[in-house]
Amino acid sequence: MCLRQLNWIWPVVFWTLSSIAGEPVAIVQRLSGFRQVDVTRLLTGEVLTERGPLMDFPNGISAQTCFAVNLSAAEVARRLQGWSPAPHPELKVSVFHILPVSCRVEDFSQLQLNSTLKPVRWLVGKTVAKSGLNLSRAEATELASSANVTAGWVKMLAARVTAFQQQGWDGIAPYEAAGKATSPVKQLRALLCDQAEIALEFAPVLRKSGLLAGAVDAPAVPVYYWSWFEANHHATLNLGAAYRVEEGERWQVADVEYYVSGDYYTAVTLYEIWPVIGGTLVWRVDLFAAPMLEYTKGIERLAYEVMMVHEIKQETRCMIQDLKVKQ
Amino acid sequence: MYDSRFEGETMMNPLRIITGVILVGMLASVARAENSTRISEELNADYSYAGKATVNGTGVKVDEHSADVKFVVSSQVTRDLLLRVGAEWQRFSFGVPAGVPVPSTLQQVSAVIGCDYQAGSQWIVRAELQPGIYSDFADVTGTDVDAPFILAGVYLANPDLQWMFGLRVDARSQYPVMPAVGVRWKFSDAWTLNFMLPKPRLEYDLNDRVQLYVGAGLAGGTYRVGDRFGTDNGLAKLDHQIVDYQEIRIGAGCTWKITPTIQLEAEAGTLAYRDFNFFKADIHERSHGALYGQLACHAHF
Repeated sequence: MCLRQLNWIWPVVFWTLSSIAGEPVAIVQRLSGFRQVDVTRLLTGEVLTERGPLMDFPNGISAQTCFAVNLSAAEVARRLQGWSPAPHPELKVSVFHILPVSCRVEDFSQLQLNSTLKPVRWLVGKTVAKSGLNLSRAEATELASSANVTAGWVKMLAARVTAFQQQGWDGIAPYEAAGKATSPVKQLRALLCDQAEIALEFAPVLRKSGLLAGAVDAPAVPVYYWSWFEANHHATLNLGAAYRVEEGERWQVADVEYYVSGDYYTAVTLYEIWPVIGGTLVWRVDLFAAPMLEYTKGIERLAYEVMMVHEIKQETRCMIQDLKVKQ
Repeated sequence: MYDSRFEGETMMNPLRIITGVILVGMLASVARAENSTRISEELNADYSYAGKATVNGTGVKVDEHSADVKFVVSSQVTRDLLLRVGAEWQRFSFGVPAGVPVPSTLQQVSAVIGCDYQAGSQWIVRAELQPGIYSDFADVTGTDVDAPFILAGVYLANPDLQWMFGLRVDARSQYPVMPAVGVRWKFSDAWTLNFMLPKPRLEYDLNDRVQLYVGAGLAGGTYRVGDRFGTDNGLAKLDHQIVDYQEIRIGAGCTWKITPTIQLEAEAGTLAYRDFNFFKADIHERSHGALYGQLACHAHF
């Protein structure tokens, strides 16, 4: 089922959702695998995590998390939109940098690929070899011939950010260096198509981000960012945009990685944030698309999902720790 | 002195292998017709030859051909449970003259019935029953039927470190319950200590497609020999006996990932230890130090 074909459903869905908007726990239980959501326990620091349902989309997996914090919903939404994982060494994020609405090359000054560390050497090696990275053919050729690999990456990333800021999702170039063209936007939409119930729940923020079809009166202006982290022992660069909308009493945040340098294609993290007695309830959904998942089935896929949940739980604990710090 | 009447038996019949591969292929295509992310198929096949090694106390030299083909279809039936159904054929053929109490063939033809289950936030448990015929196939009767059971739990500490705790239960063996512990530790980008039985290895990723390794291989099983096996070899008390066969190999090899789903493997080394343990008759036939070469193919769809 394609998201475009769901357009007529939105009014019905919004009516349905608004009728049950006062029951965040019921919504989480209905749409997630969590059998019990006890807000009182969540407010003491418990984090619920669960593998998502098995997708028909062969490149995709998902996970869900639920937690609560003693802050207002608006404050939680604001701080989740631009949350930086960089202060937590266990998350292996070297740089997280918020970008201005008009990106400049200087915004990438923290990127230095002259390190002798193996993960960085891997990225540099792949850049020179023109293989194994998410690049268009033109980008791969230009980067490989670049005299300075760091400068080449900075130029390429800045160009991708500018194209996205000016043209939106249509400005995202496909990945072609691996042989076949893969569009990260198509991967994102395929993830959402596969998880149609979740896409419907997050329709307000997804529509305002432009990921779902349909005209929007006032598109949301995202927080743009780039980051540099280690994934699977490989230095990885990504570009993201985090959208935030208020829908009645609840908030929604969609954090979309619209470019990733390698190892996986794209990821989107969705947050639904409700005020509850004693604080704020947060339901987090992670959708993730990677090329190797197409060939990862059975117990290997199960193990992959278990590890994904484990890492998200670790990240969520860091997030909660930061949310507890007054700003 | 050397009686070669079993030589013809010891050679792997290419026709049988081809027939087996075709059957496995047919099974795979049937499974693939229903394929989705919920269904997966694994095919593991290997063939090896070990050169002649002297059997202790007899002065007789024995060589060995062995082959193993295992095909399993796995289906995710609930969020946490995967069912596994399949078949395995394993054969050891020994070039052994008459009069030596060593079976010329030990063979397993079995079903594979089991499941994988997520038992906790970081635990995956595998239970597998392999009911089938475990015999020298001299005369197959109901007493050749056995059903070894494997139970293993894997603790996924993080993407680089996993622990395995397991046990193998075979009521006919001298040691009916055999525990095992293993670890997989990717301690750098290129190096992995994959100390998981039955093939503990130290692996080095040369590149994305080629991996080199050194390690060991444990193989064997528990089989029943024929009604006249002992009589025909001058040791009547071995008639219709149970034999625990074990071999330990130490070698080095190379894995080549042809596609994301198909791997070829070539390995060579020494067959360090081999034991035919007729434990009820208190007779061991051991040999050491033969060179071996092995080819294997692993595929998953």
